[in-house]
Amino acid sequence: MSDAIPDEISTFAWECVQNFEETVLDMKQVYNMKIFDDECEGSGFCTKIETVGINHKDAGKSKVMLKFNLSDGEYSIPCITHNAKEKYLAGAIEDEELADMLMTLTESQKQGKRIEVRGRYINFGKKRVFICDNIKIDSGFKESQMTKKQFHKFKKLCSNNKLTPLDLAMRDDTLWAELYAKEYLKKAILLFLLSPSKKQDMIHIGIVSSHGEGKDHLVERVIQPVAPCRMAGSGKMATIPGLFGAMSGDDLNAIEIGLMPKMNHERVAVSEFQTWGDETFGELMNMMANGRIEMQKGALDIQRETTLNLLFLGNPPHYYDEEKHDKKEMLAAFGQYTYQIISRLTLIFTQLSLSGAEAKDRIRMAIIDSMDGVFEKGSMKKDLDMWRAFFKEYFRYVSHIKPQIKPIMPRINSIYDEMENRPQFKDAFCIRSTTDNRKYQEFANLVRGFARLYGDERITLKHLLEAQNIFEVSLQTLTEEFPLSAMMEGVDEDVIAIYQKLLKDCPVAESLKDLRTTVKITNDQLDILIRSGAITKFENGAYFVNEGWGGEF
Amino acid sequence: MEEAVVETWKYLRMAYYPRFLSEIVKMPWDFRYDVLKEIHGDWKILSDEPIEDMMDYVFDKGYFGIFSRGVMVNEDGSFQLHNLISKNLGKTGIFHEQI
Repeated sequence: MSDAIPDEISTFAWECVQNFEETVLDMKQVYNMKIFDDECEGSGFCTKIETVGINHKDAGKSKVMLKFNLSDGEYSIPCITHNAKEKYLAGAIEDEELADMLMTLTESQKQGKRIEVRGRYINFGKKRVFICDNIKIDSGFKESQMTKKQFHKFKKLCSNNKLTPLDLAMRDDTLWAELYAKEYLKKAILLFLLSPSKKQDMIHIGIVSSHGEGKDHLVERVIQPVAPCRMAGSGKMATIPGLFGAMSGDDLNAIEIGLMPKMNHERVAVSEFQTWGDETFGELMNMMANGRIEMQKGALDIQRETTLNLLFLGNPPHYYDEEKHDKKEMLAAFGQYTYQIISRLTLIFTQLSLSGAEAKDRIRMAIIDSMDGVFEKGSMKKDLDMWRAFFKEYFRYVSHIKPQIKPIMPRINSIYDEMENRPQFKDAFCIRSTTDNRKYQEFANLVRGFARLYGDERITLKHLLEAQNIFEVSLQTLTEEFPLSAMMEGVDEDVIAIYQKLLKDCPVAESLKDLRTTVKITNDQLDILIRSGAITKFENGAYFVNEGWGGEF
Repeated sequence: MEEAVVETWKYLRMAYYPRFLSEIVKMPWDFRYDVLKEIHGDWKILSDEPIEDMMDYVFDKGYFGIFSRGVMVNEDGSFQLHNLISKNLGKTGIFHEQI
C-alpha cells in the first residue's frame, strides 16, 4: 500500500471542488424539473424549429413564438420562446433577442452544434412548456473550472511532496479504487481522459482481451465518473445513422446529429467492437483520422466535427486459430479495414489479462466491495467523488495546455526511427511503406499527452520516456505470443498455473490420480487443458503434458 | 557541450543503456566479444587472448565505454545507434517487461 496522500493536497483538492459546479451536458435536469417552476439549465441539439405567428388580443401586434425541440439523444424537450406581451404569456424577450435565438437554433440544427439552454417550465393553456430565456452555442471544447492560480498551487503542492499530478491520478485511493489494472493501462486510460481540441490531439485506444476482464467496468466506474464518455452499442444496436447522423424526419433540410458528432471534443467507448459490421468501421476511418465526417443526403452536403477519443474494447474474432493464423489476425475483428484501423489506433493492447495473475485477490476484493456498495457510502464515497470532480477539472485544464514539440523534435525523430526500424514494429503495425507518418504523429502526440498529464508546459525527457515506454509495451502485447486459441477454450490464470505446475512436476502421468496428486485440478479444468492442446490423453488412460503450449504466458 | 547534446546523452544513459547492458551480459563471451568489438569500431587485437583483453577493457571502463562509441549524437540532439546496439535492446525495445 502506498503512503497516504499528504493532507495539504487533499485539503486543497477539497477546497477547489467546493467551488466547482457540475457541468451540464444533457437535458436530464430540464426533464426532471417538469413539475417545478425553478430555473434550470440543459445542453442538447436543436432537432426541429417552427416559427408561429401569435394572433391574440393580449399578445400585441406581429408577435412571434418559436417552438423548437432540444434533444441530447436521450431526452427530447419541447421548448418555446416568444416576444408577446406578459399579459399573454410570461417570459417574453425582446425582438432582437428572439432573432438571435432563431439564428442560434438554426445554426444548431443545420450545423449540428450543441447549445446550452436556460429557462423554466410554465403552464401555457393546458400544456406544460419549457420557456427559454437564454440560448447560446456550446463550443464543445470546455474550459476548465480550475483557475490558473489553483492549477499552479496544485503543481507546487505536488512538487513540495515529491509527487506529480500523474502519480496522484494513478492511485487506488483517487481514481482507481473500483478497478485494478496494470500501470501502463492506467496511463493509457488517463491519456484517453484528455479532451482533444484538434484532430492531432485525438488518442484512440484498442484493448483486446479475454472476457470477464472488467472492460465495461473500466468505462462505467473509472472513465465515466471523471469525463463525459458515451458507450456505443454493440453489433446492430449501433447503426450508422445513430452513430453519425441521419436526415431529420421533422425537417428534410436538416440532418439529425449522431453519437459521434454529439461527443465532439469528448470521448466514446465501443464495447464488444468485434460485433460491429465492416461498413461501420468503414465509416469510422475518416472520422478517426480527420476528426470530422462528411455526409451527403438528398440536397444536403454537410460536414460535422468529430474530434474525439475512441476506445475499442472487445474480444478476438471467433474463428481465430493460433496454429493457422498470424497473431495480427486477433485484430481482424475490425473486419476488412483492419490495417487502416490499426494505423489509426494510437495504442493497442492485446493480452489475456489486463491485471495479471498476481492481482486476483485485489480484483476479487474490488468486486465484493462494489457488490457490498462500499464505494457508495461514507468517507469512501466522499473521497472518491472529490478526486473525480477534482481530476475532471484538472484534465480539462491540462487539455488546453499546448506544449511545443519542436524543441525536442530531433530526439523524437531519432527515437521513432529506431523503433520503426525494428522488424517487429513493421510487422505489428502492418507498415508497408518505408515509413508511417501517422504512427509518427501518434507517437509525438503521446509525448505531448504525457506532458499534459504531468501538467507541464515544456516537454522534457520524462515525457519522452513515458511515451516510448507505453508505445513499446503496446508493441510488445502485439508481438508477444498471444494465446488466443487457449483463451477461446476458457483458459484463465488458474488453468495456466496448473499447466505450469504439471509441466514442471508431472510431465507424464500414468493416470488421472497421478495428475491429481501433483496439483488440484477439476474435471472442467482438465477438459480445457485437453481441448486446448496443453495435455494429450492416451487411450490407456495416461496423460502427457505438452511443452511449449501457449507460448510465453 | 550543447544543451541538446547533453540532454540526449542523459536520455541514452537513462533509457537505452540499462537495456543494452542487461541484454549484452546474457550473451556468452565469445559472441559478446564479437558484438562489442563491432560496436567499438576500432578494436585492436593486442594479444593472443582477445576475449580476456575485452574483459579487462570492460572491467576498467564498463560497458558504457563501448556503448558510447556506438552512439552518434548530433548537435541538434538527434542520435543514431549502432545497428548492433539497436539489435540488442530486447525483442520489442528498451521497455520490454513482464506484461
